[in-house]
Amino acid sequence: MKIASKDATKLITILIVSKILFSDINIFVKGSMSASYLEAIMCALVSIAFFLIISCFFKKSKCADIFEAIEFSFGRKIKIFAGTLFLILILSYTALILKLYTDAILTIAYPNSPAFFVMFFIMLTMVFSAYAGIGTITKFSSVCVSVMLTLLAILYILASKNIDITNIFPVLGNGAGNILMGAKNIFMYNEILFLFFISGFLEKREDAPKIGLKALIYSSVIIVVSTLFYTLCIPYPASKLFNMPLLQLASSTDVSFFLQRSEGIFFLLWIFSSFLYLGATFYFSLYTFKRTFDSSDIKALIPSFIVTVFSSTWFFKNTKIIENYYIIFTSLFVIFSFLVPLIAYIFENIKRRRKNV
Amino acid sequence: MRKNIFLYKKREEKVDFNLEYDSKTGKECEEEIKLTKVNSDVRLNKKYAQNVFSLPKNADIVLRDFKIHANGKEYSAFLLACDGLAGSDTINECILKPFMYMKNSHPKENMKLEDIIFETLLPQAQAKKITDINMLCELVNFGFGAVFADTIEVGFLIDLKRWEHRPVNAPQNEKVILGPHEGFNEMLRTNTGLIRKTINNSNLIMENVELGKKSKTIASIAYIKGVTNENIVNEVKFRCKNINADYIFTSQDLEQFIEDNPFSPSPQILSTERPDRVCKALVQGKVAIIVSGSPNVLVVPATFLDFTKTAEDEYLRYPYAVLIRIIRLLAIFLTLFASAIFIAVTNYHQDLILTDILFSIESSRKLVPFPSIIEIILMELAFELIKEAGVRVPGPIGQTLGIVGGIILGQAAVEANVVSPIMIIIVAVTGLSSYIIPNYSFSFAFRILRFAYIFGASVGGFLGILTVFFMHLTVLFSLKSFGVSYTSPIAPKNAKNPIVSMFIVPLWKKERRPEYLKPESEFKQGKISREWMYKKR
Amino acid sequence: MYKKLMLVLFMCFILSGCYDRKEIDDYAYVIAIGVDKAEGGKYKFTASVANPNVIGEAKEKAEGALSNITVEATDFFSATEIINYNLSKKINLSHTNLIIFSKSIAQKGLKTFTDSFVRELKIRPATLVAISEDATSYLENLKPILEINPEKYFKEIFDEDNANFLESATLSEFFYATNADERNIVLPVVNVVDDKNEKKDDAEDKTYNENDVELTKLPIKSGNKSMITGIAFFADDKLISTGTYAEDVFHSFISKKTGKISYTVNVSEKNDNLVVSMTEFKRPKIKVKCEKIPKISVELFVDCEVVYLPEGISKSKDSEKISKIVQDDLNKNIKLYLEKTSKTLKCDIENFSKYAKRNFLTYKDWQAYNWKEKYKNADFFVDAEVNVVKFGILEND
Repeated sequence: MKIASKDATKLITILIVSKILFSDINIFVKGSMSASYLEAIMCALVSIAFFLIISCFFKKSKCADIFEAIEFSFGRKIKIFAGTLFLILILSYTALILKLYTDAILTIAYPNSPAFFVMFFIMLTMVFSAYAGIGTITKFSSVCVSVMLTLLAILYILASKNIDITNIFPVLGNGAGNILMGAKNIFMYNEILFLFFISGFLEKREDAPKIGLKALIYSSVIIVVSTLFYTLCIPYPASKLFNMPLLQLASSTDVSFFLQRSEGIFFLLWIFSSFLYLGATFYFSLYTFKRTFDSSDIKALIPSFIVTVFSSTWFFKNTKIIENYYIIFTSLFVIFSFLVPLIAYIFENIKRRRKNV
Repeated sequence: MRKNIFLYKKREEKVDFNLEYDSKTGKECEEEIKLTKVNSDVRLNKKYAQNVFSLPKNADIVLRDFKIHANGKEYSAFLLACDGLAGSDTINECILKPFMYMKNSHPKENMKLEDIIFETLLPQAQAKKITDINMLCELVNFGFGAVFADTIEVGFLIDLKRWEHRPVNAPQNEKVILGPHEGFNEMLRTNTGLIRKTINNSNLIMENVELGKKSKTIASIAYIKGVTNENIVNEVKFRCKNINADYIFTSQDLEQFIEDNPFSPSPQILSTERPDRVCKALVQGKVAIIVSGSPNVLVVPATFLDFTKTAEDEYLRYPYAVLIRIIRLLAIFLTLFASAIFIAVTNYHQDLILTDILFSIESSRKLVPFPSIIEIILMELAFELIKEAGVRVPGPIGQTLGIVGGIILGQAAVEANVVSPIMIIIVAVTGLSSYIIPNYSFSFAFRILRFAYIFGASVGGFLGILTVFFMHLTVLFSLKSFGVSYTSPIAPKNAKNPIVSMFIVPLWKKERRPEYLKPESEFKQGKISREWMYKKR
Repeated sequence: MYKKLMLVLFMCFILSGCYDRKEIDDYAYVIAIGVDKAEGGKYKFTASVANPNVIGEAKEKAEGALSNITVEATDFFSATEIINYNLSKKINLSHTNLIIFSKSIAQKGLKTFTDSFVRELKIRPATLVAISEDATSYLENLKPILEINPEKYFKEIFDEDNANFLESATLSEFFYATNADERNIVLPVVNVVDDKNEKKDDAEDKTYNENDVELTKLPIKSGNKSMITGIAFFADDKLISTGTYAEDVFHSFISKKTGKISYTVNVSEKNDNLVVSMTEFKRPKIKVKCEKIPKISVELFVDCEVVYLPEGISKSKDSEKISKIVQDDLNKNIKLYLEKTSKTLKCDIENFSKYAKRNFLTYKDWQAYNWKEKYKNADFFVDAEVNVVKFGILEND
């Protein structure tokens, strides 16, 4: 099963961009107040620089994907150890994100239903996409990305009537130091790890660094534009009070000749991205298992993994626990997505040179 | 005669018929004579033929004895042909006359009987010498004639086909306003002739294939050498030859035997009645299968977008074609989603509706007892009943039935407060849009799936609709049609020029062949095809 | 594989429950909410519920299109629970158009109410907010003349095209103003108008020009006694004072680009009134310099068309003289108005803080400047550029 390179770009873009639907924009706002878009630009530049460093070694690597690279550099036991750790992390992360999405969808449109109702629909699609395979998931993302970006563009155009240019003054916000500290928010781009997973499926292996770079550039443009619009439309101290910034932007739009309340249309964004994001991460957790333990077929594991994920959501009872765990999980994820590939590809390079010499 | 009222009279018993297995196998007399090759003794050949065709029971088949005078000797011979398939005039003119009159034949001295008959006595365009007696007898079923003569171990196969058939008419189901009005009919050679005269190129190849173990229906596989990928042709031939079925009559039977996934709601093979459509598909790099006895020609591989196009898209000028395409896509969208969105919005997301319309809907529903889901399902089922009835009702009544039935049913239902007037509008719009879909089997897919979307909407609102949509897309994306992905130009985006493959582009701009067919030659037009604009007079 | 999944899906769909499924006619839609003060720390909530049968049938007179229900409770959401015991259908707040607070509550602070309304998503953030003397009597006396659907009445009477200098604010704008720093808002006032012309003794009432009077004092006879009667100034979330007609005009001049307002100038002692119809063709230019005392300069760009031309002026038939008269009048009155906001009301109602922020680089510097205190001693320069374009279709002569 081969994946075209344009589809792979779109898959990774959509995985990274799904973050703006939650409270991640508020992190920039709380840090730098009216200069939040500058902090977003800083974060994007740092992550692109990091990725360029990794891709220098990634280009020269001859292994299909990152598991092979770890096995080549360090041996089989380290691969099993790292793989198991990552498997536990990604399963709990999937449970956390599932809980977040169901809370968001319940708040917007289904106030009287219990959480199981919405979780059930999403879990169905996760199971379906896991059976269908990575080829179908990438085809989905290439179709859905255009729809979602159109919706986002319409949202910004409709919300632009509320733009007040004085909201970005004072220009430097909380101070230049806080803007430079925006580099610590590199966890916004940690889904780039999945590029190293699918590099074995690509039609042309040499395209993989270009795919990563393009995906990072597209998603960073979208994140910066979202932050800019949010800062322009909603004045500072009120803007840090909202749980879901994009929902507030959507509420301020007005299509009053046709719809009473236009949030219902932009609600589709949450649903689409939940299907894509959770389906892809669930498939990648199964793929991790397959490559760590070298098993041949993973379809028998799907029911047990789904039940594990669902029962893990019972741990996240209220918003305070969710926030704490979110910070812990994303920090751990950063290690796996930026440090581990760097180390693995550097060592593989060194080992290959030694073998040749 | 007085009637016997008080006395009991025994009634005559009726004899009941129950079906049981045939105890006598009846295969004893079939294997009497076993012959593989034509025997030199003409009486053995005759007995074999009588055995195979169960003569004289089979009144269709004609066996005519005659004698040949050649080389000063007399040879007995017989002709085997089918009355109705072989024209009787042709038999008389082309076989019996020359043999019996032998006027114009002046054979040389000491020529063999075989050569005498074949070179001087058979004024036929197609005549062959065959030694396999089985094949000779089988081909009599198709309108050929077989001649056997004494002392030679060869039989002669002569083409005598002349049976009644429909002339080349306008196609029944794919009418256009601009463009040729020719359609295929049931004769294989007429159909292949129509294709060949349009393409007019010697690279067009028509290979023969036999379908069905006992019926041996002839089919032609057409492709253009140097353009079509050879792997598709080999795959088609492989699938056609490996069907274990006795009888295959029409192209619709063949379609069901060789398609990739018979359970999916969307068809994967395109069947059309128009020769111009088949020719355009061949030029792009596809393969056509023409089955004798059926006016529908199969075109493989077929993708999702092919089913949404009609023949007229290429004959209309560019601005009109764009408008028609937009209307068609809107019709497809409405067929699937109109009822489902209405149910989702009025049951789950009432804050989307404008307040004015909200009050109108609410006041029109005040006396209706059913919830809106049951209303919609009732009206949709009624509409489907009207549609099916309109297909079978004869002639002029059929058209009025649709209109009258719809109006009376809808109006009466509203007056009796069984349904509200808004439902009638929605169901009517949905029904109308489903007629705009150009391909018959493709529209069935949407008629079935509409109910799944209504079900999803009634369970979960927008979330339910999108879940069902997601699953539908999963099924579509994993389908393949002869090795090509079903949603090809859209989903794996490997086209070098994606705009051309997805949207409508003027005819003079289509330079490349579609990438997903992997053709052998890529360009079919120059970059500037309208050269007259840039040349000096 | 697909067959098994379809079967599981089907079973699960049936078992899932459809908790949120309610037909359209199972809800009662609230169109307007009124909040009044009651004894003992409680509040009086009035909900105007629409009757769809009367509205949907589209008769000529809509009597009974809205029915009002009043409940005393500690907060709004327990009031809805109590109302549900009275009505046969469940209350749905998504179609609410207007929330009215009474003056006594507004003077104490509206933040708890509006924060709770924004926190629950049930009320649309685009709902309009207004102030009234007594919210219940406004809603009970409401009888729209030209419409059957009362929701349309609210939408159109607060529409900017209807009355040229109308102020209207939505719930989300009020929320941003109360939670943002140094930002203030102006809300419309709605009241019930009496037939009797009772003049209230208010010696402090300064009139800017001839037409400036509190609208509750003018006797208006109409079938519908509830109307918009002015604007109210807020500092943070507390009501400071109500404004007159002219202050409404000046406020809309400075804050947005208004169109086609009629403005009366008293020319001589013979009660000659010159009336012009003014349009702003450009947004006003505002510059703020932040020194020890902030210096605020306002430039207005106005086009006007003469409507009423008194005898004394038509003889001179000079458009330049007319424009000078209007210009002097505007400069004087707007400066008076701005000084009132600075010295009497002591609150930055025109939101000059937005322009003052440009002088600072970081937030800490801005907060160290302490705009609120400095504004009380601000200096104003007003310059209105008036251009008399034409005299209608009549010649100057």
